[in-house]
Order: sequence, then C-alpha cells, then structure tokens
Amino acid sequence: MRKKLLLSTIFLNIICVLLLSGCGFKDIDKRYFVVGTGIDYSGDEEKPFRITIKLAVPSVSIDPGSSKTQIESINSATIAEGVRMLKAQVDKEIDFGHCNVFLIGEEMANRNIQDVVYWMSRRRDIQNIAALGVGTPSAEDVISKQPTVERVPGYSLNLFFSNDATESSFTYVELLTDLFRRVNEKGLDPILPVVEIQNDTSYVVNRIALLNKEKIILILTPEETQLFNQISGHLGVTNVYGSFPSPPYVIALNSVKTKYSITNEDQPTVNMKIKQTVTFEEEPVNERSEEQHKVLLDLQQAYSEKSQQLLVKIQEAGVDPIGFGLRYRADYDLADFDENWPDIYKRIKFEINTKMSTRGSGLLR
Amino acid sequence: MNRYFFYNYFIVCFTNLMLLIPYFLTADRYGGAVMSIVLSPIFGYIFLYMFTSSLSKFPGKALPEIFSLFYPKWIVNIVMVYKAVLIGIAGALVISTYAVIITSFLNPNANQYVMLMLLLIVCAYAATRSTVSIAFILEISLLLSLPVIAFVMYKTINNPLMNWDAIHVIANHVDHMPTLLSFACASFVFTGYLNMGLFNRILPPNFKFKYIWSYPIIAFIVLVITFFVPIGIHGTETVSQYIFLWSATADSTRMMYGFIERMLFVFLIVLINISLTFTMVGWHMVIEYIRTIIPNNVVNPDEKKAPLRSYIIAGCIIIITFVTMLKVTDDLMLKFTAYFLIFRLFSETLTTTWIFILSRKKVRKYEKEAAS
Repeated sequence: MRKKLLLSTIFLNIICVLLLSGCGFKDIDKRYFVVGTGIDYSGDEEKPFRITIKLAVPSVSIDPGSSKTQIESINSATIAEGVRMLKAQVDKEIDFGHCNVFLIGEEMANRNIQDVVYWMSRRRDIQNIAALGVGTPSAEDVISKQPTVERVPGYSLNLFFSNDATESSFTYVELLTDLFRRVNEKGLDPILPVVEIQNDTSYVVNRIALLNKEKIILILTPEETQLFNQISGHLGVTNVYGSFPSPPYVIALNSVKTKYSITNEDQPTVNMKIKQTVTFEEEPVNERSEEQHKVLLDLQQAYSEKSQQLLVKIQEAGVDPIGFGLRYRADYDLADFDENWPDIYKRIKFEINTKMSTRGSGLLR
Repeated sequence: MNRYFFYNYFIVCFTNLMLLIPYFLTADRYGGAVMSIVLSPIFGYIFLYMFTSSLSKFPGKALPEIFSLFYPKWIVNIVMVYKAVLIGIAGALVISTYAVIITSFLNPNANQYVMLMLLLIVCAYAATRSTVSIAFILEISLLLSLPVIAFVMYKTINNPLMNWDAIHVIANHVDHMPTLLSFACASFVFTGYLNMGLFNRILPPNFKFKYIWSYPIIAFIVLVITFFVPIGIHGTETVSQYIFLWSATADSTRMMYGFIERMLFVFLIVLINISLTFTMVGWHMVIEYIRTIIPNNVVNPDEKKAPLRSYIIAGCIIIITFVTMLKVTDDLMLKFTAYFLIFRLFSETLTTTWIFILSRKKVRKYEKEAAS
C-alpha cells in the first residue's frame, strides 16, 4: 500500500512538473522594470506618439547619486505598437508592473489625452494606482532627467506622487482610476499636475492643468493650485493643508472642510461653506492678540474673495474639475445633461462663506 | 448546525462577482438595476422561507429522496439530471471566468487551457469527497476568506477616490421598472438556500432553521456594496467600461503600508478561494444527484471512501467543461452567462414552489392519517 502511494506521488509530481514548464515564467534577472514612462507628440502625423521609457538598472550600491537608468525612446503610430518595438531595443523583458509615474507631454496634452488614458486602462500590468502628470516642456525631457541625489532608480519622481515622502499642498496627485473616471464622467473634468525641471537637476510639481475631456484648457499658477487643492478637499488625504498669505499676515491651515450645495432657481447659485481652523504663521511685529478677531474677519473676507475669483476663472474656461455638474445631476433631474449643463454652468454664481477659527498665534503672543 | 446553512448561503452570495453580476447590473444602471436590487431581497426572503420550511418537513432527505417519495423513478431521474446540469454549468462558468482572470492579471504568459485544466482537476477531485467533508472544507475556506473580504470592502469604501455624488446620481434611477436580466442578476445573490437541497442530508433530524430573516439582510448589504462601491470609485460612466469590475476596483486602492502596494493581488487570492470552493460545492451536488440515477446507489453522507462512480462522473464533468471551453470565446461566455442567469431565475422559482407544494401534500397526508 505504502509503495503504491509513493509511486503515485512521484507520478503526480512528474505530471505537475511537465505542466509547469509551459507557463513561460521569466525570472527577475531577465526583466527590466520600467520606472517612468513618457508619452509625447512627436510632430510627425504618421507616427504621432513618441514613447520614452526609463528602465531601472540594478546596482550594488544604494548611495545618493548612484542610481543607474537606461532611457529608450521611439516614435510610433500607436502606443501599443511602440512599446512592442521598444522590446526589440532591449535585451530583457519589459515590465510595467512597477511603473508608478506616467507623464504625458505638454504638446500631447494640448491635443488629446484620450488615446493614452484608454491604452493605460486596457493594459493589465499597468496599475490603476499609477500617478499621472503633464511633463513640460516634454515628457521625454522630464523622464530622461537624472536627479543627482537619487538613490534608487527612478524613485525621485515616484516619491513626489506618493504620500510617503514629500507632502506638499501644491502637489496634486492624480491616479489612473481617477483620470479615467474624469475622462468619461458627465459633470467632472480631468485634472493633471504639471511636472517641470528645475535647475536641470530636480523636479517641481506645483501647478495643475485643467482639461476638458480631451485637452488642456487652463493651467493654474502655484498660488491658485494651492487654493484649488484646499477647496476641492484633495488635501484631506494627507492632512497637509498649506497656508493662505494675505500680507502682512500668513496663516497656516490646520484643517479645511468644504461643503457646497447648488440651488436650482432662475439664477443657479453654488453656496459654498468653507470651515477652517488656522494658526498665525506671520503677523506684523508687536501685534497683540486682542486684535486677532478683527484680523480674522478680514482674512475670511479675503479668502472668500480669492476662492471666488478662482472658481469664476475656472468657470469662464468652461471646465468643471470640482464636480458641480455631478452634484447638479444628483440633486436635480436634467433631461439632457450634455445639452443643458454648459448653459447652466455659465450662469452659475458662486457665493462663498469662509469661517475661520484660530487655535492661537504660534509660539509668540 | 445552522452555521452550515450560513456557509452554503454565503458562498453563493460572494460568488456573484465571478458570474459577472456587477458587470450586468452596472450595464443597466440607468435602467432597472436599482429597482431590481431593492426588490430582490423580498423575493429572496419569500423563497428562502418556502424552501427551508419545506425542507424541515423532510428531515435528513435531499431533493432526490424527496421527489422519489411522490413520483416514479423515471421522473425523478429527469428532474435530477436537469438540476445537475444547471448546477454544473454555474460551477463551470465560475471556474472558466477565473481561468480568464488568472491569465489576464497574474500570469499573462501562461496557457489559459493549462490553467483551466489545473483548476478543473482540483475542483473535481475535491467534489468527489463525502458530503460531510465538503461541508467542513466549505467552513474552513469561508472562515479564512471572510476577514480578507471584510478588509477589502472596508478599504475600498474608505478610498479617498470615493465619490458619493455619483452614487447619488445612480440611486436616483430607482423609479425604473426592473429588466429581466438585472432582476435575475440581483436575485442570484439570494439563492444560496438551494444548496440545502443536498446538504439537508447532513442536518440532524430535529433540526430547526434559525435566524433566516437575517440572511437576506446581510446578502442585501453585500449586493449593495458590490453594485454601488464600484460606481463611487469609477464614476457613473466609466463603470461600464470594465469587464472585471471588482478587479479594477480593488486595484484602485493603494495600501501604503501593506506588504504589497496593490490590493489587487490580495483580492485575487480571496477570489480564487471563493470560486474554487463554490465550484467544489456545486460539482459535489452534481455528483450526488447523478449518482442517485445509477442503480444500487448507497446514500451515505459520511462515506469513508468515494465510490468509483463518483470519480467517473467527476471525470465526465472535467471533459465536458474543458471541451466546451476550447470553443468558447470571452464574448460568447458573457452572453451565455446572461442567458444562464435568466434561465436559472425561472428554474429556481419552479423548483422552490414545487418542493413547497410537495411539503404541504405530505402535511395533509399526515393530517388525514391522524384523523382516520
């Protein structure tokens, strides 16, 4: 009996081994991990896509500046074909599974981003939690830049978009799921952070580009970007809310809560209530806390005005990144959204009410 | 012993992802999907009550034994083959969908048919075990998966991408008449009670079904989560672009401090657990039903050694499923799943009502005997 059992076990093992050989599994040392991808417009109508990938080259030492990468680029008619052709340029299997940053060139983003987004969502090995951005002047320039302080290949750009390292109130993090949703959603338009190169060695991510469903319509300045991040509630994830400068005062925001509702009258109005707790970071020398209350009222006024200007600016550009359209759809029955909403959105008035409560004036009185 | 009923009920409830039910429901999100979801627990509860109350009139008896109390052998045989084919198809659909998922997410270089064959062999072998063993395997596997399922659901609901406005928009479409397909999909979640048609054998004679009112409520919550959470994450329009909707949803959650950053892989492991178990249970029912047709069958829910006929039936299941799947493309499978779900709705309504009528007949017979 025991002999029989042993024999059958051996036999089963042999069958399993035979089956396994067909799986085509590739070892980790036979793979190249892509750590950054850029897709540009090449300027050539026949082959519009210029694809740049940054491949991590494994290295023994992890000292600052010792990261090694290999850059490959190609022009092609479609993205998928381009990636396939890139495989012929390298000696190992290309794996997108660890690629967390995808950049779309500014020229491409000024034309059409839909092809890129659809390709990424369709591919199974691209994570839905990958971060996207617009690379200026081109994605290739940003991707092929090698920051001098980088320890692990391609990690520098990756850290910008993860909440592990830098948490800036100027950086907007857009994930693939969210971008794909915004590309299709009625009443919610795409946003992309803009990645630039500073001093030829490091990156800056402090502006956002607002898109209609296809291309960039408006790029906000860093101050507007911070304000937008505060209003849209995007910073709630990281608990870093940034500040609000209104010379001679600067206040740091400890928390921001934004609520809004839309009325459906002749004059549709967005009533937005912003609740903040703040701390003073800068105030004039020798100012005493008795006057804080009055100052706070002025600051509330200033904040409301600034926010309203920003919202009107976005409204005039005809994009809806905060999702007023979606809220309107949820609250009111609109027969033909695509037909009617642009008119309604144009007429919308913004009424913003900011309420700040202070926790103190810092360490000084 | 009530917990074995619980496991049987919820293994079917959780398998709804594998039969692409979120896909069909979201395709109909502006139509009758929401209304179907609202109506289905009522329907589910009525049938659950009918079925369990009739089974308690036949303690320790499975469907074949109940039917043979009333009908001649050949009618019972036809009914049993019909039931077995229906359950077998459900298992085959689940396992082949899983083979597709493995080849598209885990190992794209693998041969899909090799994967399918491996899964088939595992499930079919497990299905030949005795009914009691199956119940134990079911218990272990579900207890292992439940915490992970809860974790995945918790993480996805807490996802910062969650947009409640989108959910609100879809929920507003509650005033549409349910369509047949969406109602069939929604009601599938509540049909786990049908497994008791076989597992009644292992229940003790004085068994009472307890807390059955809570089952449809929990299943309803699961259904609402499976439908609305993807809409909150992917928005009202994009949600219809995905085929494996929940894989995409699980992939949208970042686990910053987890061992793996992508939650997709955690989710796929639970999914394989659930779908293998579901198929095992389903095919075990197929084997037991078909066995009753073959003469000289011994009904023993706790048999020490599986008889040869079990292996033969399991082998037939493997061959039939494999040969069918060689020809079937992904699109065809989608269509076939839709037809299957609709057909199943009618078939299960019929079975449940039939059993209910038979149980009343039996009660009346006893009353007559007692009177005379």
